[in-house]
Amino acid sequence: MAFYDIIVIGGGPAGLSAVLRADKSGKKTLLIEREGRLGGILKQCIHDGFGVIRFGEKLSGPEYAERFTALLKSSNVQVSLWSFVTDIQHKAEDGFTVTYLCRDGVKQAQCKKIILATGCRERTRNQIFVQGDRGAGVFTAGTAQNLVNLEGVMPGRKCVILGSGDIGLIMARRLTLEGATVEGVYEAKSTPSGLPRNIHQCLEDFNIPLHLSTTVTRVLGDRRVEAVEICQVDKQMRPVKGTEKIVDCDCLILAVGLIPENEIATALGVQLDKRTKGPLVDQNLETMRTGIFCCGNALHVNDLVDYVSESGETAADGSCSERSGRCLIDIVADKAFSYNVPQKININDRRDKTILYFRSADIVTDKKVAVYIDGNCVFSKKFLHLSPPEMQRITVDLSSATSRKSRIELRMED
Amino acid sequence: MITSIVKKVKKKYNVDIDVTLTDRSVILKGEMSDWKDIVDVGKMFVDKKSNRRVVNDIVLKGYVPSKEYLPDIRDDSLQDTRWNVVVIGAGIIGCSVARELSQLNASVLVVEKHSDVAHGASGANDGMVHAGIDLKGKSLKLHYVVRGNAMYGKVCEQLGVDFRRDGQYVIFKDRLMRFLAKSMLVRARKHNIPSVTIIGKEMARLEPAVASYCKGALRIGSTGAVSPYKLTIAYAENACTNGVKFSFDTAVQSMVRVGRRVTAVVTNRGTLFADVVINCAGVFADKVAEMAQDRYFSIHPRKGTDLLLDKNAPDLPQHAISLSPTLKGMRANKNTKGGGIVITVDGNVLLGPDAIETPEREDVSTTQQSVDNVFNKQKLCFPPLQKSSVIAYFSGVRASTYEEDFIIERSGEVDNLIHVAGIQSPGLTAAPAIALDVKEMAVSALKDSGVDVTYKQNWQPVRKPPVCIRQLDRQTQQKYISQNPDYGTIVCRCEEVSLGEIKDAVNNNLGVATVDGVKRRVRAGMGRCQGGFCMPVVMKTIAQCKKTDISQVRKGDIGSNLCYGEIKDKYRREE
Ligand SMILES: Cc1cc2nc3c(=O)[nH]c(=O)nc-3n(C[C@H](O)[C@H](O)[C@H](O)COP(=O)(O)OP(=O)(O)OC[C@H]3O[C@@H](n4cnc5c(N)ncnc54)[C@H](O)[C@@H]3O)c2cc1C
Ligand SMILES: Cc1cc2nc3c(=O)[nH]c(=O)nc-3n(C[C@H](O)[C@H](O)[C@H](O)COP(=O)(O)OP(=O)(O)OC[C@H]3O[C@@H](n4cnc5c(N)ncnc54)[C@H](O)[C@@H]3O)c2cc1C
Repeated sequence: MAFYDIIVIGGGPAGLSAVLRADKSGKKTLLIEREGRLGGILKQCIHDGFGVIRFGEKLSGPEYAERFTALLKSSNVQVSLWSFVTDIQHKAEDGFTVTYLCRDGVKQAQCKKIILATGCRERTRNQIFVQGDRGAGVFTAGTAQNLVNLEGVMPGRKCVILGSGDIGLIMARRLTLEGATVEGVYEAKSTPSGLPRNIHQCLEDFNIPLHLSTTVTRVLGDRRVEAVEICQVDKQMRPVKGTEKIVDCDCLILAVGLIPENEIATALGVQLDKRTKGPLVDQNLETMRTGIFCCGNALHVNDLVDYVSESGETAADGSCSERSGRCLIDIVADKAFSYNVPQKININDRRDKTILYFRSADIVTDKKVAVYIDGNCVFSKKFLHLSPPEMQRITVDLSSATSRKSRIELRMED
Repeated sequence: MITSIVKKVKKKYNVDIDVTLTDRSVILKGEMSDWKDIVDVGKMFVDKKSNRRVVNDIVLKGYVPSKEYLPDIRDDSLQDTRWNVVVIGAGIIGCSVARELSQLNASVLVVEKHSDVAHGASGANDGMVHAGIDLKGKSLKLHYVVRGNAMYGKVCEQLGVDFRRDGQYVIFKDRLMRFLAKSMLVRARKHNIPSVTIIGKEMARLEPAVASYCKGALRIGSTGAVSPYKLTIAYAENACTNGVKFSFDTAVQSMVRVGRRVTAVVTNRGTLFADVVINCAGVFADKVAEMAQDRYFSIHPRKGTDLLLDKNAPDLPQHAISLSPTLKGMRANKNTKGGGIVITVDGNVLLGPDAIETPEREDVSTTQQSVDNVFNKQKLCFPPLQKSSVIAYFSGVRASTYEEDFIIERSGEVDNLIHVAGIQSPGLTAAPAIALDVKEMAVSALKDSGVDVTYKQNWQPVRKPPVCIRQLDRQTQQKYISQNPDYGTIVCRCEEVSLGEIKDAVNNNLGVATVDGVKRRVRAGMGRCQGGFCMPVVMKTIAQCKKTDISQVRKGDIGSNLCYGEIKDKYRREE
């Protein structure tokens, strides 16, 4: 059986940067990827806007991925493509045994540490309870993107987009450019969930209407979608009777959210965070099961790939250094935050820079985000504008949290 | 008797019903403004002691019936063909009948108006192999359910279909029910239903979440679970292997009747001739009977909705459980068994179904109301259930007669016509037993038609199960992958389905190559992402295997193409 220091599962941007970083630290690494090409979801993101923070350039998804895959050739990383992890066992004496299927058969490899970088999946029609007929023509935005950008076929000619997530906005533009009509983007919330720049560049520039506080309640058409019923919703997101309207279309595209893919983590008994739907981690992105790390969209859904790559590197650094015994304390965030990553701090691993990602629970302006340790403010930064679609990143010195009884608080202040 | 019912109807609903009696039927005519009332009136005329069945032609005021599904194709592929037996409908009944008929040296054709088998109720039910404990008296249902249930182990083994017999628990909320349950034990013994016991505290040990209210339970050991569409597919494929022909996208539109015989069957793909015709048309069985001028019963459609939960969701029940009706409920209860929690043979928790009377025979659209009702009802039974665990839901339509019993007989007026009608729940359970008897009826009808019937020497009752990589041990996986590397490429990540399995599914002997067809055969697209990742690959694979363009690939029926031609850019590149 082959033996590695670190096995990275998932060859998207998170896994790529993790495996390259670990390789640089001299570790023996294996990257396992299910598909035939590396790059993950970036392969189908042919629009630009990737890498502004990291490279100071606006790259397309495949270009961004190439920056990393190009480095693989001169590395010692072993890559196994068309490989799907089916089982991971852990024994104190041998570490982890990873079983995976590939075109050569069933393979097994042992390693000391595992980095999960399996990305995320899209919420489906059923999860948001879209009712009605079951004809063809209902796609999640990512599937539609795959069909258009990788297969070169049109999923619809007259499209309605439900949900204002980024992929939906990008697909609204893409389909318009390909000659389809986009009847409108419908969003149940009273504010869009995609990035402001995508609202401008993908909708406004193409005169595609955005209907807020409106949702799709029913699909009509038992062979192919013929129309959808839309309806306004109240503050509790309940449809308002009497506001139903039929919109003719042949395609309904759903951009209603992403969920971290955590099959393997769950099977390993890794504890998940109800808010992020990804694992609970410490500042090294090590999950509650020692030796298992998680990064990228498998950890929490990111809106910028630059941070995805960064998290891969953080996880790699964490998995490359040897630590004995963790002592974890919670970061306690107030209600103004929808989540924060990491959720825990290992106080035995003190350092002056800890990266903290968070999202606010609501749209707020002119607020201070502050971090307190045992009541002492160790960080404070003013934000002119915070909104849930825009993930924020701060670096904080948490080294003064030294005891199990220390209390780390994340607060939003005026 | 009849006049007193007419009076009762007049008093209750203030309508005049016109009643005609024939040898076989009591025919109702009139107009009312509420469908539920129409069904209730139909039921008032049921008289189990007479041989007359209710034909309810009372119309719903202002209601314009939806257009029946007709495949959008016309050709003469079946024109002037001759068959010993033509089976109408490829649900579990039509397919199991076809498989039993495949033992005979006879030409058998199954016509189905949709593009795959199990498109009707057989593809949208709970997949529960019932014990029949809730059935009373001398119904055909009881007879066939008890026999069918006992046959399941062997049938599924022969046909290579997964089947589990894990039993079912009906939980009591009050102690009194425990005494009443004793009568169930007596009934079980009388009806030859095996392994029925009463358990007490053990129930709360099996499912701690029910402890708060559970006062014991009735354990029904013979209840099982099967995938209803996989079993239908298996029956059909085995029939096909043994020479039965299937013609999909083929709707029977009328029949030619001369004297006491059906002489020709008219479809959108030509007029064909048959010695014997078997009506297995589900919710359309009365319409098909009418085509042969032989309508002596009515089907009133009853829709049910089921919810499926994510296998990985937290706090799931481990056993098939349901709440026993309260005493009051029991008295009022007629045919809404109230559903329950089922563990499907693939290991998902399924909740459902409800029961909604509807004039619509083919409307399987879902409604939020039904989804909510089913969920809330089963949450009473298992309080930790979470709505966020729901990954899919669907509706099916039961084909109920007013007598609420099966009709399995040679027609009294058309010598070469057999009706297998009113096969509502638990028709899936009953199917293996029904099929055997229908084959016997067909043999005698063939003999009466002067056809000499013999049995095949080389009949092959065993169907090799499809390869399922997920379920194999490592050595066997290795063996398959080294023979065919496609078995090592996982395409559906939620259900761990390989490219090889998908190709096998596309190349089935029935010739069905649709995305839904693949989904039902190998589960690609049935997991939590519902095909988000694998659908494009499945589409490409179908196009490759069938040597067509990807834009020709359909979800299911004709007209359900998943995409429209190529994008502009692609044309430009090629120019
Ligand atoms: C449509 C879309 C548009 C976006 N637009 C922008 C943008 O304009 N600018 C920007 O900066 N960011 C953008 N993003 C965000 C960014 O691209 C993503 O956050 C990033 O791709 C996530 O990287 P990842 O490595 O975590 O996941 P992924 O890219 O999804 O990669 C995960 C990989 O793991 C593999 N895998 C999963 N399970 C297994 C298993 N069991 N065994 C083996 N392999 C497995 C998968 O095949 C996949 O290759 C966009 C994202 C999407 C989805
Ligand atoms: C919600 C629900 C839950 C259920 N749960 C269970 C359960 O747990 N256990 C159980 O044992 N039973 C259950 N049942 C009952 C079971 O599903 C049915 O009894 C069984 O599927 C009936 O099979 P069938 O072949 O008669 O009908 P169908 O499967 O409906 O097949 C009839 C076929 O005939 C075709 N057809 C109709 N007209 C024409 C025409 N003119 N020309 C050509 N083709 C035609 C239709 O397209 C259809 O494919 C349930 C039913 C429902 C609706």
